[in-house]
Amino acid sequence: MVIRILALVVLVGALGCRTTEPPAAVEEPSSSGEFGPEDGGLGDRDTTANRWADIDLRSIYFDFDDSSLKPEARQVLRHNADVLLANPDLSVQIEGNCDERGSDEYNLALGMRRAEAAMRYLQDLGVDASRLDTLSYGEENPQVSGSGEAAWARNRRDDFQPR
Amino acid sequence: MMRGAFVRLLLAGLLGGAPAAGAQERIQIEVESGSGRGYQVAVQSFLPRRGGFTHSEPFHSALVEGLNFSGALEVVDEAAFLEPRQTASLRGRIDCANWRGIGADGLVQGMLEVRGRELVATYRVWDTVRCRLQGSVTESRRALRERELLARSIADEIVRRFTGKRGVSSTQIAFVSDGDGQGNKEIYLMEADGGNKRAVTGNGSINLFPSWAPDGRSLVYTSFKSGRSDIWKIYRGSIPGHPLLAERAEKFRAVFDARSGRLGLVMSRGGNTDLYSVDASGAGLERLTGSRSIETSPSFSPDGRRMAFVSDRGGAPQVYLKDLGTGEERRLTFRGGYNSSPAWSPTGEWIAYTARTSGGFDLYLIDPDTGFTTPLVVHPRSDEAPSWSPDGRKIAFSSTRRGRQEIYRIDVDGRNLVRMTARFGNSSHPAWSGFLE
Repeated sequence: MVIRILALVVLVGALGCRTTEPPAAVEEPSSSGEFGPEDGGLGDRDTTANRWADIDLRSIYFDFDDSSLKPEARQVLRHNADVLLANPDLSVQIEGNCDERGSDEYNLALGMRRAEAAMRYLQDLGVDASRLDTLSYGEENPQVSGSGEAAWARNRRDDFQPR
Repeated sequence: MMRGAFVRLLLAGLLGGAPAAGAQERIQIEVESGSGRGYQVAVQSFLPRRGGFTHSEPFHSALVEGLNFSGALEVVDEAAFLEPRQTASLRGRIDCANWRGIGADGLVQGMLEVRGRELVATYRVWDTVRCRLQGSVTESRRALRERELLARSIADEIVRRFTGKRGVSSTQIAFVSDGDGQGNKEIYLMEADGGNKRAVTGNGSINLFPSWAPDGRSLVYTSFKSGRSDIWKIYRGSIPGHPLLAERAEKFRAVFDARSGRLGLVMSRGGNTDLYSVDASGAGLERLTGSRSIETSPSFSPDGRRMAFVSDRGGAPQVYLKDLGTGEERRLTFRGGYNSSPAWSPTGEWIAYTARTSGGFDLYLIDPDTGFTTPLVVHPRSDEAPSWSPDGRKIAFSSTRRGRQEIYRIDVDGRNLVRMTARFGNSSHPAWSGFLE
């Protein structure tokens, strides 16, 4: 069911892309002409989210340049695992995030490692791998804007998005 | 002179605040002018013929700006001219003593005319010290709407005739900015002097890390527009239809190897991020690193034989080198606990990188062979993501020194700091193009 909806979303997304982006004409490219700009954007990002609007999945938090699961994070993950086990239709995308400091590119890799750490733990707790997906936004999707340890601590996290 | 005082002030500003460890090691990096005084060049306005008149003034301004941009040449104030401001003829000799008398080491003369929809410039360059032509009379043409670009590319060629190395005023810088008013990070383009900023992407998603194809005809970049991070390639005059690689994995960044035209690819399979190599069409995937640690930020030596990259295999991000022939890898940076964003200079002599210091992030240069390290930009706020101009004289980078993240450029000897993206949102990840044809 969920998979079917997901497939539909993906298909609609792909069609959306095709209608807004004609195939690239790559003949005779010049070295001084203008690029794009392309138009069109993301459609509605998520149509499955509404169904799970009230689901209680909680974020977990990390130390700087670290992807190890702290005791509090493990506690939250046990809660999230219970939610997943109680809702067999629910799939989640685990999104790893970082604070704004450091290399943007390294932070994408670090966010991925954070998302994977949570995924492995949820699997250990009995959640089927097919219901879990991972993604990294690096430092591109902060929960709190601004600088300083209070903001940074809130941004070094994994979010769990219902699918 | 005033100018010298200004440079000292800039340097004081750069080094001021937190006296960085090693700041006293600042060394002078050799540039062609050597003496510190660039070539003084007089430029007579190009003689307009057949419709060239309306283009004459803007062309002249762009030519003068392009010559001054080099830092190696300085255009002589035409108020000092003993001879007409405008070129009379491209035939015959000139009175070299008259030009030397006003301090000019060189003279540029030319004609400007419209042929069809093209602007055609014909010019010659004099060495007034030796009183001989530098190269032959040259004709150069571009579409009328590319008038300024024509002037800048001629300026770059004139720089080459005096210094042996082409100027960079006709190159471009791609960068990331959320200056669209909606907070979306899109890819933008500007001229090397910071002018004419325009969007390359407009997909309302997150777009990062532009990298130029060696021929300047396409860019690759990272985009979340499909919902996941993927590599896209865009040609001039077109828009991309599909991601570069079909591989189901998180692709974080692709970086051109200017020598081979292949791409270094940062990709995560199963959660572990490693470096790969693919050709420019996305085919021929090869693995370059294979450890359990994070590897990112490939930057290739200009001869294509080595790759600098970042790895946290030692516990925290540091810069490493890989010999692409033997496969040997070794750690390059040892100072500080977080070093990233290596950028190999086009001359091969230096790697610029970002170092985390007590206050934020600073830019350093390191000699890849000896490990000798010297600070380039040190400021209490953060300076990051260096990118070299193709002549190896300038570095563009992002800085939060005035609050928002903005793009600056600086000469490699630490002089001439210039902000390039005032009032343009948060701007980051400059990627300086190679020489464009």
